[in-house]
Amino acid sequence: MEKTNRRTFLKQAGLLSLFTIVPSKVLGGPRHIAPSDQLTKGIIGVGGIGRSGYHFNSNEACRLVSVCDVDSSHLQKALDMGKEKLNLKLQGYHDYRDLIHDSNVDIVHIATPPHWHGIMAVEAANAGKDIWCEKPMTRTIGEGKRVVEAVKRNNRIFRLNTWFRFTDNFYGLGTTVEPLKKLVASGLLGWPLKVTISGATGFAWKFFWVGKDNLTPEKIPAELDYDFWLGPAPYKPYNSHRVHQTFRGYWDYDGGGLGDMGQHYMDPVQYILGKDDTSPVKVEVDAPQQHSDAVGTWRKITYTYADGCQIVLEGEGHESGNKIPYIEGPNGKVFKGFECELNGKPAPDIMAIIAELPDPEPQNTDFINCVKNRELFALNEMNGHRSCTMVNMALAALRLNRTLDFDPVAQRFIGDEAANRLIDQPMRGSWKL
Amino acid sequence: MKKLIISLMLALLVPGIMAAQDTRNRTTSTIIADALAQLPAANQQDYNRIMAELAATGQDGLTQLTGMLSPSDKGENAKVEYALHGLTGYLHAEGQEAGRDALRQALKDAISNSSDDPNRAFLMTLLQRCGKAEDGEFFSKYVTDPYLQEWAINGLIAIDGTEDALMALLNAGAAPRDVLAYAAGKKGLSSAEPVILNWCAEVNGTDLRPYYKALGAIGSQKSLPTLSKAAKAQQYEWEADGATEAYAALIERLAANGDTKTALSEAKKLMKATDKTNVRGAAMNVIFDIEGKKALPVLLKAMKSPDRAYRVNALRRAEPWADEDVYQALSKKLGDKGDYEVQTDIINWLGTNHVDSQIDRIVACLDSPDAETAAASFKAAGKIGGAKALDALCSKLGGEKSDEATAALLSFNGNITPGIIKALQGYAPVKVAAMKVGATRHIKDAAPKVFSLLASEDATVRDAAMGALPGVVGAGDFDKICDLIEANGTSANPALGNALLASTSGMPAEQVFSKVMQHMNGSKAPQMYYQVLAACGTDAAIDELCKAYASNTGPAKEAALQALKKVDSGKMAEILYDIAVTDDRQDLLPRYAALVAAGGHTPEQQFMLYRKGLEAASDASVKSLMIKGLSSAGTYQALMLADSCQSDPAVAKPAAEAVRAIMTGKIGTFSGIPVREALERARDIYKAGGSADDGYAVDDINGMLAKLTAATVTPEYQLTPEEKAQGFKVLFDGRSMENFTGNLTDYIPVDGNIYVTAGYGNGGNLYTKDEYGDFIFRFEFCFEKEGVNNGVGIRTPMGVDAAYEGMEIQILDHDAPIYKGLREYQVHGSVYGIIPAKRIKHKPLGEWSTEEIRAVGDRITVTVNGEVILDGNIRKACQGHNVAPDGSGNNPYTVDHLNHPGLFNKKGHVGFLGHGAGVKFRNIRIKSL
Repeated sequence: MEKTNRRTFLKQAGLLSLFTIVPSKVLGGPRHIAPSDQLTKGIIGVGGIGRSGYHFNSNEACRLVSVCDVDSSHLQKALDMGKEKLNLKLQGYHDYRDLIHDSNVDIVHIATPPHWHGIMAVEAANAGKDIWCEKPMTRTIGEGKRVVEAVKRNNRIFRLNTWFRFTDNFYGLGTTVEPLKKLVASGLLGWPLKVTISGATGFAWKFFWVGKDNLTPEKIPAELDYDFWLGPAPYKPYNSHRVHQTFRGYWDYDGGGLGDMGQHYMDPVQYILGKDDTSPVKVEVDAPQQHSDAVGTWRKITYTYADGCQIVLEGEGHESGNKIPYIEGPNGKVFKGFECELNGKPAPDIMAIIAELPDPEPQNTDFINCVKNRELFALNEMNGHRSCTMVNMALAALRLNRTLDFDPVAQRFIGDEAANRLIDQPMRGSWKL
Repeated sequence: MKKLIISLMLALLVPGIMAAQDTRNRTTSTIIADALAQLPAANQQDYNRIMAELAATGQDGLTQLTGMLSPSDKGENAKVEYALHGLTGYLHAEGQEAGRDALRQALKDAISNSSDDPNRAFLMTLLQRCGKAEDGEFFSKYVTDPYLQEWAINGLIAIDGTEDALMALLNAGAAPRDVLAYAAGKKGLSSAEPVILNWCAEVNGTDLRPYYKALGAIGSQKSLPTLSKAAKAQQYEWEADGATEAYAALIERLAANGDTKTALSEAKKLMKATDKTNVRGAAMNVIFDIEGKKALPVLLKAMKSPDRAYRVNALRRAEPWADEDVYQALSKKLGDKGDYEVQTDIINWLGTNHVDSQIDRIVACLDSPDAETAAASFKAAGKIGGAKALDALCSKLGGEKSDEATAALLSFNGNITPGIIKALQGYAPVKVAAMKVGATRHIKDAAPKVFSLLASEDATVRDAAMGALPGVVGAGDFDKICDLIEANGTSANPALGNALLASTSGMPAEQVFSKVMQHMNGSKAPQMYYQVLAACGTDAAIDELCKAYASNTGPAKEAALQALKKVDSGKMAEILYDIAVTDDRQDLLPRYAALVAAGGHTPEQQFMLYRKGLEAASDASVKSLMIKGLSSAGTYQALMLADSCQSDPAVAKPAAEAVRAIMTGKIGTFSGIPVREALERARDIYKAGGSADDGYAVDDINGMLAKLTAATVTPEYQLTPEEKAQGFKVLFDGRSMENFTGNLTDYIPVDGNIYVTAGYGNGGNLYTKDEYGDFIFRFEFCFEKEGVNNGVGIRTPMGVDAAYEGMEIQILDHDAPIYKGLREYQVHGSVYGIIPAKRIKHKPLGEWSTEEIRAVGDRITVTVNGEVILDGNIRKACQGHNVAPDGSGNNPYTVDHLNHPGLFNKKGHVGFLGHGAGVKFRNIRIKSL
């Protein structure tokens, strides 16, 4: 594939765009960063999420320059979208390494299925690129550790893309995370706390995001490079249900609704509880047996931290309309819509109480600013790895259908070698981390 | 006792002894078959039990089990996969040694004996999970197998104790070198270093990545020349061969293994050799980790670098050893001179680390001429907190950087009340800003001052005080605020309304209401009280607001409406709906939908309320809200209504979502063709979407459709040979409503029956499409609840009252207590109002009865369950006077004394005349005579 350098690329792009790019790499060299510098990004994986507004945008702060996909129809759609929606001529790649190596790209967005996240993030870091990675961060605990190391070694800025810890209404809970954080930090609820994430508080566990067993082989579509799509995942005969919209239902690539949405739901809880630098010490599961390939459902998953705090993923009872508290402590409860109880009595004036408390310490929530100022993003490789570890701990417990004990420092399961073999799972061919 | 249990357990674990029999004397194959039938296990207890039973079948059983795998491309192995995968996890646990060994053996035998690659790969995956060091040799056998190589190598990597087996492969070059190199690196096989170094030297020009990667992971000093040279050759750029990253990794490794001297000198060399930020940073990390505080000069030198990434990395990596000396050295760089970007980085870092010792210098930078440096100082001061920071930040209120100061104060690390109270004594702009902070933080101590500032001569101060008032007032301030309202009349600031509301926080609603009414009656600005009334939410308060809405015009009317929207009461749904419809206010409908949702209504009520909402909605987003509501109603009617919305492109998606949501859990309850079609339409809408949810929704709906088929495999009703010969025609075959017309939404085919839905409320009848004169009409009916009232209309036009415009043969559960006062011409089987039938005793609820209605000329014969209960002549029954001869409405000739103008119709439709739910019909056929 012919590589365009920044200079020739700018010539082409200039015809289409009104923005002025002051390139940082080629024109200025590493020691020069122009104050008006416009950063650039490339997206790997332009199927569903990669073509969504989260990634597929371009503005004065950061310009989209290239896209990559192993499905040529996805790639073509993205190139067309670039032309039609953004008035940009994007560089298209089949091999993500070409995109990472593209000197025009400052920031690499990883929007592939999770089984690729670890490898791509590490390679992007090694290439000196900053990274925006979709959730879940990685599909194993081991890969997450490699990402943390690589980002640290290469002094990169990493954003794990879920945002509820700092913005947006928190799914169906009917509040942002900020007042929850304030309330918890105030100690009014007491300690330890139990947080229940359930349909009753507005978190859909996506139990229909499951795989199918008894799959039969199908013909690989001409536009898909299936071998490359699989990458580090073990080779299995192609079936259309394995790829694209429905890959989430297979252990090889993701972990169902919990694997795919769990980090969205649990990361803010980790922040609220102040557990960004540790992990639970135990995970218990109540679930039907899982298949070797297809992800199934579960009923309840309970995490316990060393200090007794618990996070309960409640998969049942959400249709009943049961009033389950979102947070429960010895001295109070918080329900959906920030309805509170303190010392056994309703607290309708809770917002007035909250108003008197200081806001949480400000978080760095402007990724582009973080890249420019080299500040840690609010949800970075370290706390992102911790919240993803919660997801991956539970997936391991589900696959083994038993309670697992975990050492948050060594990041290993205690006394369960079968579980530890799920920490670093085999990777195919040269795709080794 | 204990001893006995242990020996029993041992017996369980010894393969062979227990082999074939269990406590129930089942054979191995029976145990396996029983287990497979129960898989996947529903819960952990079942899982443990079933796996224990399978494990107890020992070597024989496990071999049988692996032998049950069918060719992989048939897609029928799920059960066996559940069993084997389950056993792999179950037996790889403490205390399961013997079972695990038996399983490993069975897996290995099966892999050796199978020629089905995907099956072998599956078994290899399991062996990777439960294998032991001894299995190294087995994996080694497959490292050149074109299909299984991956699994073989990964098995060697995953399992502890297979180092020798892997080393033997490396020494023999028994597999592709790159594959072995990756394996050695991944396994951390340091003894492989010489072999891999040799390979590096031998291979020219090809991809060296596997070897570099391995050396980075396992190498010693001996690998340094190779890697440093290769990295230099790439100018320390990231290239596909990975030399630079391997070199950096090796330096880290040497440091971690205690060879700090070499690591340090290599790191320093590397730092000098390149200006690639990330590579220099990697080297610096090593230096910092080894030297700790001794590296302070490196840190300080880094602060002179123009490369921000490098600088900030230096600061972050210094965190583990930074102490007061380091803080002091760094904060010396703060001030009027020096690079402001560097100052910003240092200040950010001090703030993040909450370094309070340097607060003086940080505070001094609040006035930095550089905007970024100043902004960073504000943030850092807020994070660090303390009296000095508070004073400094408060002193900036009202100034050029007032916004930054405000932000820092709102998240200030500590209590800001003293600072804010003090600032309220300051100059006007300071007061203004301080009041804003005080209001946001609800600083009640500031209330007296804020009240007094309402009278300030300075307009900006007055306005700010007004704006701050709602934030600082308390329960004691209600009357004071009312006085202010009345003093200003219609020109009173709307903020006073907010303040009034705030002052009632925590007060009982009745008390608030009476207080409000005291002031509002005769008030010059009654609308100032509306919000408070809304918050009361009592019936009396609602009445007041409704009155206000009805009697006012202009802004006062709107204020009343906005207040009504805020009232939290079940009554409000109807009130808002009426206003929305009468005064065309679409904006009220979302609130209506929310109130309906919170109203605790029955599903049927919810349906009616959302349907009403849908009728009133014109905007697609409002419609969507109502459609979403339909899914919580979840009734059949809701399903049908949602289905009908699927054809409107503006709301097709929410409609499809509602259809799917309703049908989730309703499979088995709702079925029939309309349901199937609704689901198919929903599926097609999802198919057009591209998200994960869309993809899985298609799966989900397909699953429902499959179950629907399974649930509705109703034998198609067919005539007996006898009836066929006689010329009967099937009107309803259990599935299709094609012979009927009229109300096809409340009469629906469910499980082979025509079912009258629960929500049916006299909304039209069901008619045959064809008309019949003389005929034999046969059907079966079943009452599902007490008091069912229906009827068969015959020789009737459509859309009229068949009992008078045609004839109605009564269908009635006349045994129900509610029909105690029934007239004789109303009992089941009667020609309604004309000829009473013999009163029969109906079968119990839920049982089917047969009925035949024979109409030949004027003779009507009704037979139920084989018994003739009516056989009469309609003309004779009324002596030919179906209408009163005198033209009046009082007809002495009919039993019910009413006119029956259609009684002598020659022909007409046959229809079901519903009066509510609870009845089913089936096997409906007719013969024209």
